[in-house]
Amino acid sequence: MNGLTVGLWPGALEVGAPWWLLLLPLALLPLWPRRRHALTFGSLDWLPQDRLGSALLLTGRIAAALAMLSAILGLAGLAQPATEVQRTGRGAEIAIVLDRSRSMDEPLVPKGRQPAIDSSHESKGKVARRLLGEFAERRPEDRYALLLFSSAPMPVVPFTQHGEVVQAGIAAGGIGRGLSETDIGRALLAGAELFDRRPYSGSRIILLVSDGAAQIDDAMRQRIQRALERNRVAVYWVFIRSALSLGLNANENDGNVPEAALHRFLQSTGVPYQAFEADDPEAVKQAVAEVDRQQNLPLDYVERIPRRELSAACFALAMLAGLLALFVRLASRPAWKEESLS
Amino acid sequence: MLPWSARQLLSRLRGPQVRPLAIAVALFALAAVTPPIPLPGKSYDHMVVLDITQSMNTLDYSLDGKPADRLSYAKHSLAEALRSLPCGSRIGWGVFAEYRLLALMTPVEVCSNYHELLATLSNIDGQMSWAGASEVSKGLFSSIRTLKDLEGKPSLVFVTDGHEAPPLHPKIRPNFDGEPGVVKGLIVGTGGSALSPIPKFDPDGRPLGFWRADEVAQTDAISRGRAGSSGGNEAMVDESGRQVEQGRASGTEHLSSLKSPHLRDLASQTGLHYHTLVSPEALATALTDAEFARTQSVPTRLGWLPALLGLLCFAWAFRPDRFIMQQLFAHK
Repeated sequence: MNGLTVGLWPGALEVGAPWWLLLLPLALLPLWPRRRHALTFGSLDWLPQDRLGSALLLTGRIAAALAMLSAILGLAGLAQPATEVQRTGRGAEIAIVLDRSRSMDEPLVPKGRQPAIDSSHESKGKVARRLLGEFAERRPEDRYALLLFSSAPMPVVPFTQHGEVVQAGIAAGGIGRGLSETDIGRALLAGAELFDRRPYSGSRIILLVSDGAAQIDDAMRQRIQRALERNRVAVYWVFIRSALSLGLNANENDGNVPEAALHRFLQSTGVPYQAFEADDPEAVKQAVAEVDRQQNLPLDYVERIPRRELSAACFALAMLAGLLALFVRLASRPAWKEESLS
Repeated sequence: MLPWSARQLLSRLRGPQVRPLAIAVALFALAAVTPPIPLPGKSYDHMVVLDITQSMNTLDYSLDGKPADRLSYAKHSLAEALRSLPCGSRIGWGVFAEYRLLALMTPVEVCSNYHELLATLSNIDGQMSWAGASEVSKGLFSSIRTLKDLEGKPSLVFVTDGHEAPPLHPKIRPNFDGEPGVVKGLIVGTGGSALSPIPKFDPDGRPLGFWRADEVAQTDAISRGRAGSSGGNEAMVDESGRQVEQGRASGTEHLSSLKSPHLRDLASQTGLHYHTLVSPEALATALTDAEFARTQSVPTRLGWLPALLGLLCFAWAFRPDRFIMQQLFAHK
């Protein structure tokens, strides 16, 4: 990333080390008229002009100039800059909305086991991160955005195809403990708004990964619903069940079960919605596989073609042109003086 | 039949007119096929932690002729400074609020992820904050603890104004219990030297004017003593049992300036460097300090060396002779 890059042909060619271009005048040297050449066939006026000979000499001089020119361009680091090409593939735009609250640090315990007795399990957050990581790796054509949330939504990675960055964002979730609060309403809204002002180019998903929920007031519910409808976003909730949770299908009579309330609200929004109630690591894997299976609609995406260094090609051209110049020198008779001296 | 015999050509190959060209062609060929060779090169591995507490909204920088807040200026400077990191270096982002670090992205390679790193940086703002407090010392110490165990052991770049809220007691302060220098890094102090009002925002980022003197804690918890509790006016005691002085309200905690002595003190406790943010260039220099550099093999192109020699051979073979000089000066 050092130094400055100068575009030679905007978007098509650039040089990475433009200072080398100061050598360019050197490439004019072979084109300069020279005594040697003048003498070679200039002394005898009455001979017919050697058209072939002069053409050959001119070719040699041009080849020499070309060799020097390409060598200088190679030194200057001629390259084809990274470009982007529109392609249509299969995939989706997926906004991962990942719970960063402290409860995600607790172990994910299979149904029917007591968390206090059994502490050998991975934390919910770790399971979720590992599976999301595998998921993102397996579907490289998808575009991902990552949003963490606790008391506030934290947009981390905007929509990108750079898997490495998404992985780094997911991995960062494992550093330090979780935060204390969970405001899932604002997180959902922020997730839906990630799609605002983006051209619709394929199926859109919010992949909500959370182990709980909080009550959402009516005003916020309406804002979430409007944002989901406006952007035509499907919601997939990977609900990582806490050991003592009543689950998503808890009856309203069971008292205050925020996750069940959110489940009913999301069902009522009218956008495609599916919940995956994950009781154990295997179920989380199934949930992710389900998203994987269902969302394969055509997606316009941008393929990045990385920067291509052309230095080696320049040197190869310099060699070929130099070979031609060399051949001409070999073929043409040098000035009599030098021939007799050597 | 060819007009040239092979013997004649070979003998000419050694002639003074031809030899430089033959050597040059060989050198160009060498340049074209030399693969990038791994040579030891410098790279940097930084986890950049930005203070996103409200004092970072103080407008005491200027950017493009307009007043800029500390966080924006720090983000701008970091974005510029990223360019000066050699490829192979890695940068991660984190934010600080309350008393802790929240990692947003573990370090990734800068050259191939440059745009994503910038996009993530631009997402960082005060609205991410999850709590109102700003306990800088504790935040720094816990960041160091967190980074110590991180894979690849990145160095810490902690960008803050040093404004502690609630304020610290002048004598009783959090202590660094780790080993100084285990995590290398840099504290980047942001802010001006004069006290300025701190803009106030609601959780959705709407401006609410400025913080007023009666809206913030002006004294630290220890100096306040037990006022209001059952102990009445009983003063608190320190570890050796002496009474702690009470009620040293400075009354300016609603204003903010760069607390560089405090940050320098923290830096010397923890074995970090200290740098006051004045310009992106100076920040870039501070980030590429030799102490943070790590040596790793970087694929290095060496083709330029034979290519340059070949070019010089050509220049020699076609060097200006007396004839050119005569021509040049004859036209004067």
